[in-house]
Amino acid sequence: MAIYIVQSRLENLKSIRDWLKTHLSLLGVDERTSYGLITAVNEIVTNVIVHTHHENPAFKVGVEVEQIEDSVEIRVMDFCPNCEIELVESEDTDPLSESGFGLKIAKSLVDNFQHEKGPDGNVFVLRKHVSSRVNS
Amino acid sequence: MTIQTETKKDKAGNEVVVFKLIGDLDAFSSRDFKPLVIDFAEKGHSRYIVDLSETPFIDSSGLVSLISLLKRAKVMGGYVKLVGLRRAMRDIFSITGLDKVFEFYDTVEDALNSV
Repeated sequence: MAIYIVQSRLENLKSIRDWLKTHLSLLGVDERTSYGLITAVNEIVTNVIVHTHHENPAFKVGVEVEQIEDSVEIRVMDFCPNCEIELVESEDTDPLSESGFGLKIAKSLVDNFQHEKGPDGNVFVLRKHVSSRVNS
Repeated sequence: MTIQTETKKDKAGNEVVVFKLIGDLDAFSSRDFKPLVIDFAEKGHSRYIVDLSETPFIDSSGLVSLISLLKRAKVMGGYVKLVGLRRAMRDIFSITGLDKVFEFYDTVEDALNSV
């Protein structure tokens, strides 16, 4: 298991993506699956930074990655027990609606998406089956 | 992200603004792109090519900035053509239905000659 924690700033999105890419590669996840997972996590982290933390860098956001049997599980943590989350998924069929894309994209790119509320804050759990387990 | 801008002529002789986006187009970097879109639209431009051949990553905020450009172009009777989209990025265009909204080309020259 590996964990990465940074200040809640949009400037840090790239470093999160780079960190995740490295760790998914170490787990032997193929390039296309890795790109999809990175995209999904990026959407959830962006949602946390913008809508939960309101871009306040006093908050932190964390990403944890772990291989569980033949799946990769990624947990996005907001470390904010008192924060209410806002998950907006567009039900608009118009692709030009300009809102609610993020959650729709994230859900589409993983096999399972869950939100858990714990003592340390909100946790978003993304799970995706991977074809082979290189490092056990 | 670096944004390079130049003006070219399409096959019909119309002026086309070509944006070349170098780097990831995410919620952070799209904040640099959006004002540029508004600025060019307010100057009366309506035909655009967005070169994504050196854009390794795009997220929903990036898509929204492209949609904003497209809407402004369409209102003025113009177009937005996307160039050099990497295979891995095609998924989010199909998930959102935007693969049916934008025109895609391999190169800037292909896009210019398509009119």
